[in-house]
Amino acid sequence: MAPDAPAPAPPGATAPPARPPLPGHRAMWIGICLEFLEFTVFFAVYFSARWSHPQAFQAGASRLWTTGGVAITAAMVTSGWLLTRMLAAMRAGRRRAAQGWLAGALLVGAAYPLVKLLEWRWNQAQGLDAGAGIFVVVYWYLTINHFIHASWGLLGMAWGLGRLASGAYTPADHRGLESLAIYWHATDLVWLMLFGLFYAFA
Amino acid sequence: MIPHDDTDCERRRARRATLTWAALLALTGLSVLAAGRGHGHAGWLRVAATWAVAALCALKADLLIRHYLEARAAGPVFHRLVRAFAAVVPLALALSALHEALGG
Repeated sequence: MAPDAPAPAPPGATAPPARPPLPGHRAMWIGICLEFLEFTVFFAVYFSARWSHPQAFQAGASRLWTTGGVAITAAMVTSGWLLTRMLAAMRAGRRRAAQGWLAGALLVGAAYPLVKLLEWRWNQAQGLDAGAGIFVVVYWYLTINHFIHASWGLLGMAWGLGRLASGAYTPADHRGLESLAIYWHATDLVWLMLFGLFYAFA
Repeated sequence: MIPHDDTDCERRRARRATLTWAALLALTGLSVLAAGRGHGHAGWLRVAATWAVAALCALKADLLIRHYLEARAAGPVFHRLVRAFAAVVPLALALSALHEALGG
């Protein structure tokens, strides 16, 4: 017997209820907690700037493009919903359907960079560049960082779609897809915070 | 073929996910409306609008964590870390509004 193997349960003893398996890979959960830590630091930057320059933050938000913020929220949330459908199809053993849901999630998620592009053009037209004050600097700092994280998520979806099409995942083991969904939902959670900080007041 | 109970469970999960999606979109619209109420105003009306946005932000985060991220299934440590993160912005936003109203 291996030295660290668990001792056999005495006869008649009730086994503790088995814990459900962790969704996705443990490394992804650690990864998203680090992402949260990173954004907590960014939020600390936002709030310290806001406490020092309240007027700039009250006036600044009205210069942003609310429609763009709402469109990105819709893209993130809808893409996240499509990922939950993809996982449900995968668990039910419907691989073709899962491929369709994942392709849909990627397509809808790809609206984010497109809207971002329009938003950058809007900002340029409004003169919202790095020299436009503390509020705009913080806005760029946080939203560009989020855009980078979402881009990783979109690349992950494209990768997952390729792997799914090649038969790399099974109904019994599709933790890679679960990890992908966890990452996207975590990035969506961060976006919901950014929406409250910037776009809701625009 | 998957057992009948699992199919029912999956159906319930799918329905919850769809309702969550609709709720997240509706709450986003409400956030914009709430913030608009405080726009151009100073003092306590602005504080109330900001608190409403903070509360809606917390509600949206709760829905997402519960029904999409399913953080509870990841165990108590990850679940608490995710919950702690989701509380930072709504709390800090509410405090900032108060600070600004008190002329900080």
